[in-house]
Amino acid sequence: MDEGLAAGSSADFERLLRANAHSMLRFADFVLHDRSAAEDAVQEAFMIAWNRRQTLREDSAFVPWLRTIVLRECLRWRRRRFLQVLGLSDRVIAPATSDPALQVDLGRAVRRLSPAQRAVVYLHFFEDQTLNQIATELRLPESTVKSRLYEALRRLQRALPGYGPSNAGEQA
Amino acid sequence: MTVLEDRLKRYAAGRADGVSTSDADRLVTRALTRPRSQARWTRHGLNVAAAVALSLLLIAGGIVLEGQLVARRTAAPPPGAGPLPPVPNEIVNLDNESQAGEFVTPFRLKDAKILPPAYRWTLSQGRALVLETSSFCSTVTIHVVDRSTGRDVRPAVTLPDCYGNPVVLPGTRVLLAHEHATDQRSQNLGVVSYDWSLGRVVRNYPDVSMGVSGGLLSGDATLLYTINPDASSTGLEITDLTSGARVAHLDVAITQVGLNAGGIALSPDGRTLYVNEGIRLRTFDARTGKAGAVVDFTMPRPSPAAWLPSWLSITADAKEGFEAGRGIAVDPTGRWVAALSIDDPSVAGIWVFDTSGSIHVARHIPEPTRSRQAGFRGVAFSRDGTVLYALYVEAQQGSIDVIAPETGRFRALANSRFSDLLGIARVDPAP
Repeated sequence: MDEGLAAGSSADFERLLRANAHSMLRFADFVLHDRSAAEDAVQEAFMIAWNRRQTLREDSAFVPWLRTIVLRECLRWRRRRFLQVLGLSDRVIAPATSDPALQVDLGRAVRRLSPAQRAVVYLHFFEDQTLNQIATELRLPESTVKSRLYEALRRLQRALPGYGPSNAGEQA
Repeated sequence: MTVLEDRLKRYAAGRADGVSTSDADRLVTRALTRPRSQARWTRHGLNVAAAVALSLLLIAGGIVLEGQLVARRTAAPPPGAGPLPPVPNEIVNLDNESQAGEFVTPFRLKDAKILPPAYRWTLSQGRALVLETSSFCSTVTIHVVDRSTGRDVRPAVTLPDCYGNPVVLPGTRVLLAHEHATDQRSQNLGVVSYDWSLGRVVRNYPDVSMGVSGGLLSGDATLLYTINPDASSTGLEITDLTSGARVAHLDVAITQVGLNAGGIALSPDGRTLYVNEGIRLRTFDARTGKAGAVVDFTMPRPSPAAWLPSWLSITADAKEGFEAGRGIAVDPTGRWVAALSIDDPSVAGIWVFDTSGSIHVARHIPEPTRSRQAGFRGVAFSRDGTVLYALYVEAQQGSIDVIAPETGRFRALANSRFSDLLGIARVDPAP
């Protein structure tokens, strides 16, 4: 981040926001597993980030700072939706894949995870972040990240018994 | 990497591929072009507004509740509420049956001391009127004396027949009830206007009957209110002193004045005539005699005076000297009216009415004891209207109770020589 951002430069901040928007939307989509909800949450998060841009003092902290806001808005969206008597349908956006049946099973299993667990899963398996990096980015203790990831995998393995370690070589 | 982890990675990548860069960029544009912070602040604003509205509602409810409690406390103060009333630096002049009728007994409040007798009927220029009657009241000698020396300042004038119950008019005239009395009976001859500076009767009002209670004069001295004891039904008459004509005859239930509750009084603005019937207070238009509100001597709820000392109770005997101007009093501001009841235990005591808004009973002060020899015998307000004086007499002693009309709190100024007192004649400032 350049010096202008720390000084509250709107143009620089917007540029950084656009540079990370795609990553944040994919993150939110995975956490919520609802494209429409993800877009709402990300847009809200971007507005919050914009209004709070003056509070950002460290250039290197932009992505974790934004990630935290996006995740918080995702969780808030979940709570709002829980309170809605007639919520939006939890649409599943089937990702492009060569094995649709497999992806649907996996998708169902992932959707049973909590958003917080999905956030850790996404950062670890899609963005290849280490536990330490995830902990830094989400401002969580590393032990918490580790337990969330462990619990997520355990639940997925329980839901998908065919994805055992013995098949690792074949699938890899 | 396990199969699951591999699948998971591919699943995440596949899902991420469904999210285009343009979608993300569009979100940024929407977020930044949308009125910034508007939606959020709108939501927060609504929350704040709702919280403020709820708070105001709760506060308003609290104010209303507190107001009701305050009003209730004001209407019926709990025992000991409010400060004790001040004792004005005034002299309450009392009627005393053991002394001649032209004198009153001054009682100085500051030290609860009885002073030497004072003249009852005071005139202008430091003078006083003294009526000296012969036996059977066949003649009356009228003296005009200096109040400080007691000496005649004019030659005394002797008139045939009986004259009494003076009503002092502005200037040099007084109204006198005129009777022809023998040892067997008396005959009402009306009222005369006597000019004490000239020493003679200057006008007759033969159709006006002024009983033992005397009369009440309007503020501008044009109307005379009298209780006619000779009427077939005791009535109150209003006479125009200029024309001599009767303005109105009011059929009110004042029975025998001097034996039962009675009394008439005017509001300070002269518009309202109050008549104390002993069990109710009646109001009339003081100019026309048109009847107004009637308020019974009943409390709309349990008496707020119940907290008064236990010795405040009821007497059951008639009181002598219960006359117009003694059984009722109006404070100089016109807000309070105090009236003595008849001796029926259900209503006995002083009834204080609040005339602010519609006239209503504000307080009932029961009589202190049930003794037949005890009871309230007169009421009057201080000259500034802040306190009510009530003469209370027992068999061997009595007191002037100084009462705050708003709270009912009082001070009892006792004196052992109060047993012969009949009522309150007037209130004067202390020198």
